[in-house]
Order: sequence, then C-alpha cells, then structure tokens
Amino acid sequence: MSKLYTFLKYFFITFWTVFVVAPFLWAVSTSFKDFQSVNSKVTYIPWLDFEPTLEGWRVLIKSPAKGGVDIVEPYFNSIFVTCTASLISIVLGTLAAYALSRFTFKAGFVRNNDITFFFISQRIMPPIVLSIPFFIFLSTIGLLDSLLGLVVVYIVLLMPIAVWIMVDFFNRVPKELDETALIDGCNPYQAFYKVVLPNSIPGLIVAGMFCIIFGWIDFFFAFILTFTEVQLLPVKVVALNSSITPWWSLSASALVSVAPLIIVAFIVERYLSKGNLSGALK
Amino acid sequence: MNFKHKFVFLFPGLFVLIGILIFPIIFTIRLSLSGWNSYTPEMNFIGITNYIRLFTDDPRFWESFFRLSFLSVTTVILQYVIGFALAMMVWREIKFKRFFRVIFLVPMMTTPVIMTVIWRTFFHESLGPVNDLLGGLGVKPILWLSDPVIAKFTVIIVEVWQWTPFMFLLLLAGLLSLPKEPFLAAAIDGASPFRKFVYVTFPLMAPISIGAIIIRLIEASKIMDTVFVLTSGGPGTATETSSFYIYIKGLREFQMGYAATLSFTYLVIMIISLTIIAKVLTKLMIKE
Amino acid sequence: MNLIGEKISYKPDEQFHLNDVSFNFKKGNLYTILGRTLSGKTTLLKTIAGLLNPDQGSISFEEKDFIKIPVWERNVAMVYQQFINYPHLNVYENITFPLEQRKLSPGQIKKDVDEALKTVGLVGFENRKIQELSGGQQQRVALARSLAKKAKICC
Repeated sequence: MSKLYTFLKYFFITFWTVFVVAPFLWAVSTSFKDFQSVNSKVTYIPWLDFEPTLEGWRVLIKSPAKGGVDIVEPYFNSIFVTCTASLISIVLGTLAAYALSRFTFKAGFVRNNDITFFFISQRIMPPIVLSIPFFIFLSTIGLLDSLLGLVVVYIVLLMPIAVWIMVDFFNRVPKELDETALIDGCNPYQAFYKVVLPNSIPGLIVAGMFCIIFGWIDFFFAFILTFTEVQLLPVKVVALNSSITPWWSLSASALVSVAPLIIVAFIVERYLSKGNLSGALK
Repeated sequence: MNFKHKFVFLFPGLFVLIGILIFPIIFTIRLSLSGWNSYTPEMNFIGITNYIRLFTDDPRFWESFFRLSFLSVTTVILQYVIGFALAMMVWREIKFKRFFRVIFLVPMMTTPVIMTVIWRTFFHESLGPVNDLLGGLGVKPILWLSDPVIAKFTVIIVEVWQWTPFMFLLLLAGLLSLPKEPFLAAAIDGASPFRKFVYVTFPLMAPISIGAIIIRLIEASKIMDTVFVLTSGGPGTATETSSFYIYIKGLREFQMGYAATLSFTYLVIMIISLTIIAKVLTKLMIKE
Repeated sequence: MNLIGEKISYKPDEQFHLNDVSFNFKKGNLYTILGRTLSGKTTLLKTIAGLLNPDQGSISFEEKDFIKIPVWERNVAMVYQQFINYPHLNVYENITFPLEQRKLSPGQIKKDVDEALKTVGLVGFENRKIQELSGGQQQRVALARSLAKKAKICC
C-alpha cells in the first residue's frame, strides 16, 4: 500500500514537472530554428535534428525598419506601467486595508465587511465590461494610447489585490501593538508608519509581488486601449502571432517576456519555506 | 479604537477607485439603453429594446454563457484537485522539495497570452510536437484546435497549466499555517494516512479551500486571453465565452449599445451566481 | 490633583461593558482593581488610558476634562498582560521610543533609560532583539518602557 503510494506520488510529481517544463523546452528549441527546420518536419534537438541559428534572437533588438521586431521599448513600457500602478495600488490599498482592519465604519447599512467586499469585488468585473467605457472615457480626457491612461486602468485591476492581502495581514497583527504606540505618544499616523508599517514588510512584499504579477500578465486592457504610440509587451508578442508564423522570433520574444517574473517564483518560494507567507495569504 | 483620523486612511483608496469606476459603470448602464452602433454612433434612447433582444432573441449569448460556466467550473475543479495533491506532496519533507515548489509555481508567473502563443505552436496539428510524438506511437493526428469538442479540452489543458500554481500556492500556504496539535493527536490515536486526511487535514483546510475556489472561480470566469489567442472562439463558436462574445459584438461589429447591455447583464449574473456559489460551498464544506 | 471618574458607561453592543462606574483615585497611591473574568477591568483601564471613549460619564484629571484629550497626549503608561513590545526595535530602542516621541533631550533620554534598565535588571541586554528574549524578559522590557516615561498615571 505505502509502496504503491510512494510510486504514484513520484510518478505524479515527475509527470507534472514534465508538463510544466515542456512548453518552455519547446520554445527554447524553436527560438534557435530557421524557416526550414520549423516547416519541413517537427524537430527537437539542436545540432542533432537541425542546425541552430541566432536569427530569432537577433530580430528582437533590430528596429522595425530593418525587418526587426524591437521589443525593447514595449519592455520598458510594460515595466513602467506595472511598477507605477503597483506602487500606487499598494500605497492606497495598504492605507485603506489598515483602516478597514482597525477602525469601525458605519454608514447606513454599510459596515467594514461591505467596504472590503466592494474593493475585492472589482476583480469580478470582466475586463471586457470595463474596456468599452474606458475606451470612451480615456479618449474624452485624451489619455487613450498613453502610458498614464494604462496606469489609471491598472490601478482598478491591482488595488483590490493589495486590499485583499493587506486586510488579511493586518488582521493578524495584534491590535495591542498600535494601542501601545498610541499610549507611548504616537498619533494615529505616527503609530501607523513608525510601528505598524515596519512590522508589515512580509505582507507588503507578498502584496507587491501579486500586484506585479497581475499587472505584468494583463493583456486585454493594453490590447484595447493602446494602438501605435504605446505598446506593451504582451500585445507586441501576440501581434507576431498573427503574421506569417515566424516561430523562432515568436519563441524568443515570448521567453524574454516571461523571464523576469520567474525570479518572483523563487522569492515566493523563499517566503513560503520561511513560513512568512502563510500569515500573509489566507 | 475609533478616531476621526480613520477616514484619512480609508478615503484616498476608496475615492480613487470610485472615481475611476463611476464613469464606466454609469456610462455602461446608459449605453445599454441606447442603439449606438456603427451606423448611428450616438447616445439615443431606445428604452429596454436591447434587453428584450437579449432575453428573447439571442441564443448565442446564453450558449456562450453556459460554455463559460462549463469551462470555468471544469478548470477550477481540476486545478483544485491537482493543486491540493501537489501541495500535499511537497508539504512535508521530500527530496528536492524547494526545487519542485519553484517549478510548480512557475506557470502562474508567466503571461497567459504569451504562453498561449507558445501552446498554439505546441498543439499545431502538423508542425507541433504533440501530434508528432503521438504519431511516433502510432496515434493519428488529433485536431487539437479545429475539432469543436477537442478544442474545448485544449483550452482546459492550457488553463489548468496556467492557473493550477495559484491554487497550489494558496493551498500550500494554508497547509503550512495549520496547527500541529490535531496531527499529533491523530498520530497518537494511530489514524491511517487516509483517515488522517479525511478527518483532520481536509476539515482544517475547508475555509482555505473555499477562499481559494472562490478566488479562482472569479478569475476563471474572466477567461479570455487564452481563448483569444488559442482558438479565437472557434472552430465556429465552439470555444466562444461570454467575454469573447461581448468583445465581438462591441469592438468588432461596433454594436456598442447592445454590447453594453450584454456587459451589464453578464455582470449582474456573475455577482449573483458567485454569491450563491460561495454560500453553497460554505454549507457543503464546513459541516458543523 | 485626583483622577476622578463619574458614572462611566460603555456599551458598544447589546451588553454593558462598563455600567455606571465611578471612582476617585488620589495622587501618589496604588490602587488594585479586582473582578471576575469579563467584569470589565481591562475596559476600565483602556478607558482611563483613552483607547476607548465611554458613551456616558466623565473622567477628570488635574481639574481637566480627560475625555477631550487624545490618548497620545495623555501621558499615561500601561503594560499589557501579553508581552507587547515593538518587534522591529531592539531593547534599548524599545525603551527610548516613547521618550523620543516626547522629544526629550538625548542626555535626559539616556539617563532615564539607564535608570529603567537598572530597575528591571536588563543592563547588558540593550542591543538584543525582542524575539531573542524569554517571556519574562520581554515583559520586563515593556515594564521598563512604562517606567522610563515617568507617566503621571500608570495602568
């Protein structure tokens, strides 16, 4: 019984690992191919199956005028939009989460839980529902096809995540800590930034990582709300898909785009192993 | 503790969010009562004509809605079962524990739409490795993307690959935060691993499970990027979800008014059904 | 110069947490409040400290209406049953925290802290992190922080 269990366990782990890694291996292999080795028959291993070239990678930094793809600018656009929106969401979301965790709000039938639900419920909204009015809204105020416009939209996407994680985190920080700070002569703002904030770093890191993940991977808003002036990474890569399948540059650009966030997986794992994350996630 | 300062903490975030959202929501409701399309791009008032059309004469929307329900419920169940199994396996000491944990987390860090582009080449019917390797085993080429039934499963495979890690993360964080005492008690009573799971681990994990399932259902109901790139809703309408249908009506056929009607109806249905699902799950999983 | 409470009631939900409490504490004296669990001892102390505002009644201290003064200006000291210290600060910083908050001169702070450390017997532990101390030592840090403040009211 237990031998069978161990066998199944390792079989399943191996199977899943292969499943997770397979598309990456395929992409790495494809990124070194040329037209011939993609279109003749299915090839896998460089040198053995096909002669590798660096063409797929070289195209990435060439300017479009010379037949390149130029993902450098979209790359920085993506970083800028993601980081700015995450930062604003974390600041505003953390303040709101602190208020919701510590103080009592009453307005008619509305209580703390209802306000928290209002924040989190914004995630229910499918992007498509918001994208049409946002399209018209942003074109009215002249922010269509601009980085600033995207930041505004991404705040709606990310603040609910920050509030969700931080409310839960603050609920686990003992209330007596703030009370001691107040008794020791801090006003509520000082109590927050001198005492509560320095002790909330694990929560802030987790919230920050989640905001960065969900900002970085968004495609739809960037797709609808930008055209030529500003392009974000996912839109740029997907645009390659529709043209006549240059699979090599497609794979190379895909790998470059997903690479930075893989570091986040290591950070998350570190926090998980240290046991810090369990407090910061439900 | 109750100070007037509390508003200073809450209001910036609350009002920024309301400020950004108030226009889109009011605008959508107003737009849904208009006949805005590419011929008459203006905010006229046609009452509830659009809503009548939706409820009496648009089977395609309801089909896309049921397809979405099928896809999201199936993927979330699969993600929950697989995610829980994976979390259980790397919860306690095993060899290369940290390596496997990182590997299991990686897919959720990748951009769905970009990975789907890769998956598309992966499942390519003549030039992709899946059919090639299966061909080596003597299996006839499978129409991963152009068969109406199989295409649904291809979407499910990609979604499960992408989002099982999220479930895994929430459940593993939950497992790691469980108190040790109930497990010690079970060990002293000599409970078998199976009984330990059924009577100790699973009940303790119930609240976390509900949270994780609800969050995933919310996210899965927005399934769009994958479909957009992988199949574009096709073949025919075989993988068309509600979001994608609204997208076609609104931004391809420019029936803005009608698309707003669809959006608003869809949003109301989502909020109601997710609330009901949350209530039902809570009842099912937490037995007094 | 007395701390006087009159007819204090606190009822945040259906039940009274404090019901018509009055007291007259004289300066320089030590008082003990006894009562069963949940009888409202902590609630009363929190009310005196200013963490809770009573629904009815008044508290006055040195002839001033105490209720109108916010917690952080009341200059009270309070030690919790659970050991509450600032986890991100070391022992020394924990004790100086309230003094720096009141903007005392560095010399004065040093003198007060050293004195408090001596009283609770933690000389030599200044640079330890709070988590590295035993439960009893942690509580002594909390005590030293209250003593160093030289507050007019100690709860």
